[in-house]
Amino acid sequence: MWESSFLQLLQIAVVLVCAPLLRGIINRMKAIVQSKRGPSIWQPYRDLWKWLHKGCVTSEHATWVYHVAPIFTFITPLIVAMLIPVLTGYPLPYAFMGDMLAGGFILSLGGFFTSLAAMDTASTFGGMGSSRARVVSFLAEPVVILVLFTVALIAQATIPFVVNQTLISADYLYNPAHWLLAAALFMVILAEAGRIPVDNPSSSFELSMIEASRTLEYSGQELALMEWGGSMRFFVLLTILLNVLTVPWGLVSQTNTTVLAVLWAIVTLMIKMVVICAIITVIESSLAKWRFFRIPEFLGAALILAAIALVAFYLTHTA
Amino acid sequence: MILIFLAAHGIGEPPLLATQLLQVSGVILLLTAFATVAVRLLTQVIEVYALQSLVLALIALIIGYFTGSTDLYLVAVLTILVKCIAIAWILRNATRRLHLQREVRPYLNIPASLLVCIFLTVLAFFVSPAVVAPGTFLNEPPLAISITLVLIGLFLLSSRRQAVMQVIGLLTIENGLFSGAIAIAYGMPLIVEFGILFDILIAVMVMSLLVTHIQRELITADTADLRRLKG
Repeated sequence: MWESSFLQLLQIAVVLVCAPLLRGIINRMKAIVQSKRGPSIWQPYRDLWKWLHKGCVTSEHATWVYHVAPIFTFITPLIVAMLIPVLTGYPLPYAFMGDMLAGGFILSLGGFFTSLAAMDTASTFGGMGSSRARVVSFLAEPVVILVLFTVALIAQATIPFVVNQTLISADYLYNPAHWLLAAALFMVILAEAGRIPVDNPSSSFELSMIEASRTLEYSGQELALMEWGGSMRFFVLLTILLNVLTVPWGLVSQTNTTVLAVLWAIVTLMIKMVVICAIITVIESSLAKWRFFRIPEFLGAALILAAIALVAFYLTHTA
Repeated sequence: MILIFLAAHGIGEPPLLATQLLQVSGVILLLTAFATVAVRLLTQVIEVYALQSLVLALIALIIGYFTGSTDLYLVAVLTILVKCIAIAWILRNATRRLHLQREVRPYLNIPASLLVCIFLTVLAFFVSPAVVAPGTFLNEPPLAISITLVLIGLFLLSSRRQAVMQVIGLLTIENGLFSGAIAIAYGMPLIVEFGILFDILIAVMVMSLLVTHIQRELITADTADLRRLKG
């Protein structure tokens, strides 16, 4: 089946190519909201081009972990992109390699190596950033597990391709459990991707950085891989939110695999991404970064939403 | 009385729209209960309480529409007038004159309080199958939500220091009992509803007067300082 393999490669290519665009769109929208003109949406591509043509300067204390981390950060989102419905509504050849739980663990593998590498350079800001990022991750983990378990309960499966068909069926579309889960997962994505209110992605104040300080020591091609991997991780997380939980429409179906359908799938994916970037821009422009000790409250609220979703599921199924 | 009511109106399987609307309203009610525990500013807690009472009035309206009982329409209107408008106004006035506008040091901090509330919700869902009236419109789940509201109200009452937060806890208990009555018995007899609404109105007025006087005497409305009988 050459077309399934081709679509699989195309999925990876779409994630690779379109991921830096998200950061560009969010920065441009934020500037427009503030009545400024803002950088062009293609600016992240120019940054990547610039970094790829520069050499790396490495700390003398760095070991192999420091050099291996950019590779892991770059590859893990691409592996997860094979497991989730990016373009197609039906499972492609490698989609049964792992389910949603495996996807979550593969993404945290990349985060694990990034945290180790930040401490590897013996810089104080890296160590601080690593410990803070680990706190955010471990607080977000119960929420992710609860969301995955509730989705598995509702859909009786953990493969994303099965789950999204169940969640948009007539029983569950207007079910409060479905939307509470989407809200809880959105809050976790804001925390994991380091957006406001958890972390300011554009701050230059190292003492307050969480995500950004982990890439502080990198330069040149390794920095390009780290930044690109970070953007792809954000893109993959948003794709899971959009194409699995919330709006899985516009995907290519098994009976209709034409070039036009594939192009339409790419266009609808980008439209959904632009809409969610607008929502993130509104959130970023209305709130300020919260104190670090308020992050447990933020993720606690996400846990409450996921727990109420579970309760609402039982509410609508024992009647 | 319920069986006579049911036989007179011939109620069988509830229509899908009613079930969906009631599910959504029930979940919003649960969310407002958690929100009263999670916020710190007193003015925000009063707004959340007003929203909770509004959702209750909507539930009464929906059930009144689908079962055809006009009593529930009157109950819904009265709930909005007394709880959303009058009580919220009285509490807001009382809060305006306080020095401390937020709950600064509750006995249990907020993330831990939220975890306790999750535990209370699960407890309520385990308890409610034993307390169900057969043959009603919507069986167990709304009863479980009412018990959750009562438990969360009790928890608020016991774990907060600010007098206004304790009043909100009491009012949440009353909201829980009110929604329980609607879930099991399509509302209580109308005269009981009038009586209860009037009672809580007077109770809130007296409490707001007391809070202002306590504040004048002791500079603070923190109930942790009210340990001695003599000033």
